[in-house]
Amino acid sequence: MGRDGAGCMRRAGVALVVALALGGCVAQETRRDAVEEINRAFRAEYETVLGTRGTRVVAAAHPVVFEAVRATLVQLGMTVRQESPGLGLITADSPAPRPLSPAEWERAAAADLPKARALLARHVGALANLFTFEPEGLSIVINANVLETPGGTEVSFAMRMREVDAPKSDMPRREYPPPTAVAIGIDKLWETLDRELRSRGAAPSRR
Amino acid sequence: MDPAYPDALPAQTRLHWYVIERVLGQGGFGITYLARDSNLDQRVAIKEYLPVEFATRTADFTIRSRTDALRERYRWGLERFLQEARTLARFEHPNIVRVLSVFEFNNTAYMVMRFEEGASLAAVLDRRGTLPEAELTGVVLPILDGLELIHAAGFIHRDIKPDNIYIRGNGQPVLLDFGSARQAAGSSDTLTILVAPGYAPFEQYYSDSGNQGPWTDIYALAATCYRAIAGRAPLDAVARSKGVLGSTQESMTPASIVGAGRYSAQFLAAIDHALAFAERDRPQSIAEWRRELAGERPAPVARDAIPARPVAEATRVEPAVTRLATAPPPAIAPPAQARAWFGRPSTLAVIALAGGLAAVIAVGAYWLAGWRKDATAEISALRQELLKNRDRVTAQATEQPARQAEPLPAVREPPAVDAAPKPAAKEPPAVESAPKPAPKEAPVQEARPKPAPVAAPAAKPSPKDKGAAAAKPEQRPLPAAVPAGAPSSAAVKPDPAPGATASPASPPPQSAPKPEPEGALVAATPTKPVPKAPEPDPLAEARRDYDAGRHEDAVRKARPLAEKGDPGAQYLLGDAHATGRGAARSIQEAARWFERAALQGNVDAMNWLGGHFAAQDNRYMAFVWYGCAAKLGATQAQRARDQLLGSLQPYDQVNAERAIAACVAKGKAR
Repeated sequence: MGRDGAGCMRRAGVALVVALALGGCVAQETRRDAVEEINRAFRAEYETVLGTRGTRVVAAAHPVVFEAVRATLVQLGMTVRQESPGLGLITADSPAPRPLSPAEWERAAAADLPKARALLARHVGALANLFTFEPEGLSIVINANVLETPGGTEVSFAMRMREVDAPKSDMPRREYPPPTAVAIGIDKLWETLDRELRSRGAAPSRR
Repeated sequence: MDPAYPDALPAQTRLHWYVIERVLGQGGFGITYLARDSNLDQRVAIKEYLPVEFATRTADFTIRSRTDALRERYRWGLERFLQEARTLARFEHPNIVRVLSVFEFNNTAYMVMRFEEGASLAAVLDRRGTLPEAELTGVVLPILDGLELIHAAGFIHRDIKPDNIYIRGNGQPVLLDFGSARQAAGSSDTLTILVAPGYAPFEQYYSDSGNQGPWTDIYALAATCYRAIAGRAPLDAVARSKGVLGSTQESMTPASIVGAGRYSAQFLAAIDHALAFAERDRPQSIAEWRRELAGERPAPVARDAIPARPVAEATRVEPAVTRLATAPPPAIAPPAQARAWFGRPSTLAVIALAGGLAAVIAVGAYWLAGWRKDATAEISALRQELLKNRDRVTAQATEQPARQAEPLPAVREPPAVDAAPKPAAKEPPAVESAPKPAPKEAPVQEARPKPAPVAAPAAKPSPKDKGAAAAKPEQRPLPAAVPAGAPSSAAVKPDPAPGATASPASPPPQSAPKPEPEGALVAATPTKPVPKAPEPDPLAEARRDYDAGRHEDAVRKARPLAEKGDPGAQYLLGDAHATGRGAARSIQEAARWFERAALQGNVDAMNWLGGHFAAQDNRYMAFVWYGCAAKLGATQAQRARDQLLGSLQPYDQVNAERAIAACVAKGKAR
């Protein structure tokens, strides 16, 4: 995406802030409360998604699964930053929207934006319609656990957002990614991991 | 002429009876030469005032301002340079660079200083990564003494950083390169060369100096300590300010987390206190900070590290912004709207449609006009934002009225010195930059009581070491939780708290007392009696070699044991790779060995890994490894874990607890 294209997205992304800032008609506290309400709602859904889909078990040796998880992350465009292979921890990150494609991100936005706007509307009224999601200035961080358990090798993924560029506003940014984006991302991780496991002669993961 | 320094005087140039030999270094405000005093036949370092931004050398070697408009500024800086030299010449302290003379020549000025041979602390840290506490205090405390003298005279260094601390051949540190020039130069467009990112506190990013004082140097010295603890400089003050304001999630990992288990708690708390973002939250005098470092006075908990909620964090900077409000405005203060979120034309159209305001359009136009955030504008905007937050907080009539009423510390820089220009940010030190014998042998007592993530963990078992360790709570030279076959190590155990973290290297078993009962060890290996050390004990031999400085022999002996799974040997190898003693320096390789040791229940290795990941801002992994150590009873690790807890999202906490359980289970199983 070119700079102009990015600019368009940025314009859309900051629209809420601009609107909220109009002549100081919305107080700082109100803006903060609005974003915090989104955070609360997103967090609940985020935890539900990860709680139900974030962990699986693989019937294969720990080193094999660890390598497969690592390869999965790399294949999805993530950069492995730190790892503890003996215990089974990996931290990887990438500029948002990866591991989602732009189309998947749009799909997530289409699903979650109405909810977010409805929440915002309680605080800022019609101006909430200017709100949108933006991937710029954010990176996605994935922490993967690959742990030996009596039942096999347990794999868990957690995805979160990290801000890498300050927003143009003094508002706190959302702390949680759109829940649909998390769900899409988690499903994508499992699909890719299962392919990796199969390529190593191991059975796919199971819930 | 040295082609690397085209502005420099050529070798053999005479300045009165000083003969230039070569350039030692060049910074934004001058060049430092190695020269010979032909009268006394001794080497000296001579610093020439040459602010390249607004002056240049002519063909006859004289210095001229670049334009007539800059002449005043040049002359003013020159006066400050002379004044600084005269002030410094009054001080005779073993840890402050000795100024021997100053004179004007070539339409500029020259400061003659004693030539110090040694290595910069920066070079030492580049080589070794980190320094253990005993070595670090051996550097910091003498510098504090010298600095106290300087502060008492109303002078501030303004540029303390590892590059400006030299370690003489005898191990004594000396503080170089006083930085008043950057005050004189003042122009905000030169900001990047005026301050040392990571070491300069936020108040130094303004062009006024009203908020600067001893606390400014204390911050920089604490930042230098942080560099020696974490292996990297602290987060730059501007980046920290954004985190404090809540516009980013960025925050500095406190020393108490990065160094947990490797340094004493009171030492780390003192560092964190001195690194407080707001100047009023720091120790206000050297004496105050020295007492905290020594544990004579507890340091308050650092307040702006790892903010759980950015908005709440803004409240915490109130003391600082109160001070800011009384200070003159920054040299280049953009209009308050400048840091706006108002974007570009189409956004503005939306705004207009929504009932838009003229002010917003004006700001949008300002944006279109090509406003660019340069460093200064950004800082000014941040400052404005801090002020706005202050206003909000004040309006809410919240906390800390008492604090605001506190009188300012007595020691303040007089205006004349405030403005004094000085050899600057990158000013070369007045010393030989050639590598020197390892600087630290002297100040450091032999003891290396702490396992260091990148430093010398192998503790010495000698009585001397034990004494040193005893002075520092939670410092023990022995690996405590080494379940499988590791010879028991002398447990110098000043901290009777159960489960205090243990140290890596252990003393020879013959002379070492048995470890005292310890929560960590007991918890980790409740059913495994420590096997009697065989005679001869190859690991004990390796440790003896390591402690005696025969690092390569030690590594050669330890490696096969480590490969076979001996956690003590694995720890030794980890330390060797972390410090580059006896093995190629490789943090990755060190982490690999430490992890192997940790997975067998070695608490020190867990602490090392916790600090290692914390230093990389990976709070998840730091939490896991500190959590493992904490489960095994390490008290400092418990504190570090608790501090990290608030910065993890709940689901990360759940996963981290799973990992901790797996880690502990592995340790117990083996």
